[in-house]
Amino acid sequence: MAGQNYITSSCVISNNAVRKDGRELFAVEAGNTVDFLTEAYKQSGINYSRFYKMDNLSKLGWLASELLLQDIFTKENYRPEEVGVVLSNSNASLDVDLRYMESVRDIASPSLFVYTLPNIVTGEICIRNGFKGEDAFFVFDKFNASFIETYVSNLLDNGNLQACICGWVDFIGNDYKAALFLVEKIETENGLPFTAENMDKLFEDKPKEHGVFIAGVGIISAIGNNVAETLASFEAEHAGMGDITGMDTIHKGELPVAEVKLSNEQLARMTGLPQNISRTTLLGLVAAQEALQDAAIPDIDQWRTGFVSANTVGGMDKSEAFFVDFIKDNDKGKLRNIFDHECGSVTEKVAKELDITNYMTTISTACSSSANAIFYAARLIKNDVLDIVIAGGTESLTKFTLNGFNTLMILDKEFCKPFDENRHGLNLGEGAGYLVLVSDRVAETLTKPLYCKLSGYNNSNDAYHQTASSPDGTGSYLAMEKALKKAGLSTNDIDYINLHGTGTPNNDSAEGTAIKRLFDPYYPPMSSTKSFTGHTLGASGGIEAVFSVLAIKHGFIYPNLRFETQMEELPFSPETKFSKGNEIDHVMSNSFGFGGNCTSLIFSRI
Amino acid sequence: MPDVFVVSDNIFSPIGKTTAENFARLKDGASGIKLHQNDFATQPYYAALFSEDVSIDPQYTKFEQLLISSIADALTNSDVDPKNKRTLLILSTTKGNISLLETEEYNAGLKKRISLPSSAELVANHFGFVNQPVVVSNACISGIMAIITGKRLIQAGQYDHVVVAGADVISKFVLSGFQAFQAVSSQPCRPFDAERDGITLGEGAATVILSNQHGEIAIKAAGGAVSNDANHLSAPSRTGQELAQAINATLKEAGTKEVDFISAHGTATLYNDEMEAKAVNLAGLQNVPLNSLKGQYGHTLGAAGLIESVVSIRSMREGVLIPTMGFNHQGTPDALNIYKQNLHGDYKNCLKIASGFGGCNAAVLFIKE
Repeated sequence: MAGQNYITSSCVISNNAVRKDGRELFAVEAGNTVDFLTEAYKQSGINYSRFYKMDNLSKLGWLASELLLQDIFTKENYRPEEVGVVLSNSNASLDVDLRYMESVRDIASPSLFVYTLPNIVTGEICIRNGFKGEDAFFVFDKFNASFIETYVSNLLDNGNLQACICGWVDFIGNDYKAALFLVEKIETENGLPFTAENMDKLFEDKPKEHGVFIAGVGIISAIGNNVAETLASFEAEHAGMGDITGMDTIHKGELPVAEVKLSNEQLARMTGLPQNISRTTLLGLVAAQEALQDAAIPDIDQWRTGFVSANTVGGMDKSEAFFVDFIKDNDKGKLRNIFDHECGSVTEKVAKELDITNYMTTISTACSSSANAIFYAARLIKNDVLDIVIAGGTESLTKFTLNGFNTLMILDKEFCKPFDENRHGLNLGEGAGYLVLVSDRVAETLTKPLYCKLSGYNNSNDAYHQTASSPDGTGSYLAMEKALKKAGLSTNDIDYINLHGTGTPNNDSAEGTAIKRLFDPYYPPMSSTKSFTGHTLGASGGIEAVFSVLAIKHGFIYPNLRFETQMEELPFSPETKFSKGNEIDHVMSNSFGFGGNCTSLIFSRI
Repeated sequence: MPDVFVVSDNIFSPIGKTTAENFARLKDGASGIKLHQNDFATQPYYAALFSEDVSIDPQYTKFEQLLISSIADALTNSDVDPKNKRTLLILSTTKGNISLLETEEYNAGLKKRISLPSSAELVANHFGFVNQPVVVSNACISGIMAIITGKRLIQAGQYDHVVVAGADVISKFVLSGFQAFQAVSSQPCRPFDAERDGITLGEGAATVILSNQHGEIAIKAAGGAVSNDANHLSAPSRTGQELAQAINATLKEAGTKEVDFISAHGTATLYNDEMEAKAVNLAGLQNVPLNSLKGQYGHTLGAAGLIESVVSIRSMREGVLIPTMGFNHQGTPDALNIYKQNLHGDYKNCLKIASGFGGCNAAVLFIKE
């Protein structure tokens, strides 16, 4: 009767890292998957001239087999016919099939054609090691550990083999994964019983990283002073734009804006802050307080809590008021009105009111500011610097921004029409949006259900122009693509995209082109909620992150108001009706800013 | 361990749509190989291709249609129920839907459409198989490997019945590749002949239904083994030792040394046939009647091992061995017993062998009880 079989070694190559027996051997910084293979080969220190002849699948499988066998396998213990190789994957040899097909247009390449069979990788491993036992290659849509267990156990138990390399090796375009297991009949110090469960565990093993979960949300904008009011406006498809009321400007009645429907006096009463404080701070505190109350974390003092807040305008509203008197007479004007002029002061004020002292910082990267704040907060948690972070951004309307955007000629005199063929520009808005992000350790202690997790994020630069996006949306494309990769998702997994969608001809064209390049031919529902809130600049990423989180929680898809005509250059159009009860597992939220600063966040159902 | 029997089969090829039709035509000396001229190549080429439209339903590709037609016929001749949770589907192919790359633009949708698991799911759903199908893609030994896999899974007690089907379709992708290798014969291929100069490609499908119960005549899949040359990716072993190793392991598992005839791989390339002759000699089987059916079917790649197994099983049932078409004079240094006319007799043990790219070899022994 058969004895016990053991996994005496394992090697997993994925996510730019090589792990052996569950521990990281080395990681490689590489721009693309092909560079990764070459770099990993160099780092392995193994010298084998055939490597450079191989196709990508063989390179990956061969390299994994070398590292698998290194320091543990004694070839002399076995006769050649006693060692076999049983591998599997989902894409067969498609990676090289595509390359071969390219060559056929010119001169069919025999050296590529030989690799157009998935089992060639087993051949490479056999040639390298002189293994002459059974080799087999199976194709499954995902790693089928129980099939491999049955098949390989059978070979070992019936005496066909004494040792077997088995597992998974898949390579297609930008995706790759190898997970190889050495199975022998001997028990070793680190050996694990050869079972499907143990293979699955090693297959899924990821570098130690803390999860990041969303425990609370808070928001104030032109469509509501809290989450409940906001959702009611969405359901009623009620936009927040209107004539300017809060600022004394010549553009009154000419340029619509999306104002928060509360005066500074009302905001001050709500928050208990003095009236002479910047509106940016007042708005920030309202939303941050709501988020923290919503999270309802008991004994918050026992955790390391931080505040990462974004804005672009700081206390400019107060500085503008000061300036009116000061310009006439440099001895005039009350200096106490400009003490929180700079962006960091807004963050400090709010953090003080929230009683957060462990950590605070301000991020100001134009219109992607608060998406970057959330991104940064996630990294603080993942790297075990903090346990809880309130992250997002705040922004108030000022003459400074209104006149600035007006000189760029990107303001629409009507209510904006994002992603419409006949769009003319954006409407400015104001508000604040914050998330409470918590680590898995904190999450375990909470009784209130979590909203979702932050599964992916990326920041990439467009490297094109200070205030215009590149025609093919390079930065947006990279941010979305890499955020998906970080989340381990494909475009098909995204159920809703909250677009940056400012309504300017340039942004929507570049963003749309990038989406087309990445998602074609299957497009998820998408919309720009700036058609409700206006463009709240440094707060927009935070506000739209709140919308994204609520979309997962309630199954919402928000409409893109006033959309009429599909853009000629795009094969898709945004959603125009509010709907609820949708199955939404993954939401992508885009925020792209001046300076080419592009950020995508992905929120996922837990 | 339970015995495993072949309870039904089918060949769906340019020669015929059922095993009976194929075998009747083979006995009459038919071949599916013809001269073709189409977009796949600039020059006319010999191949065994379907001349008629095989479509049954536009949602399936030609590859899937061949599989479905073959499986459907094999199922009608057996009691095996695909919806039984003790029944598994195993598919064998080398390139599946790869011809789609020639006509469609590559994108995420096509990537999924081309993938073998997608085809397997479509075919499985067509018949209502409840278990997730297994796909074997192991170059030219895929068909035999699929039979061996099915046999082992039944013996391991995982399933009672396994439907094993294989198919490949010839298109520009495959033809241009073998042409780039200078491996395609300028004439209909001539296995083991002194004048052989390469392969002729063919397309088709075949099905073998395995079960732990048997019908009137019990044909047992008694042994099977696989080996690797560990020598070269596209050239066979110089010694034939590794194929001989697979043959010996197969006979050992079957517990017999009796072999009444051999169905060889016999692709008609210089090196394959030479290696096979060496291996058969090393195994001491050089006097056993041996054929290659590549002269009739061409090299049907992932279907070859299955088509040739089904013909061999039929030979045992009817007591008629089919000769090697295109063979005139011995062309291998090591002698073989290759016959030129139909042979008649009582044949109880058939050895089927194959070898493929990647250095793989496989053997399976069928016994009529």
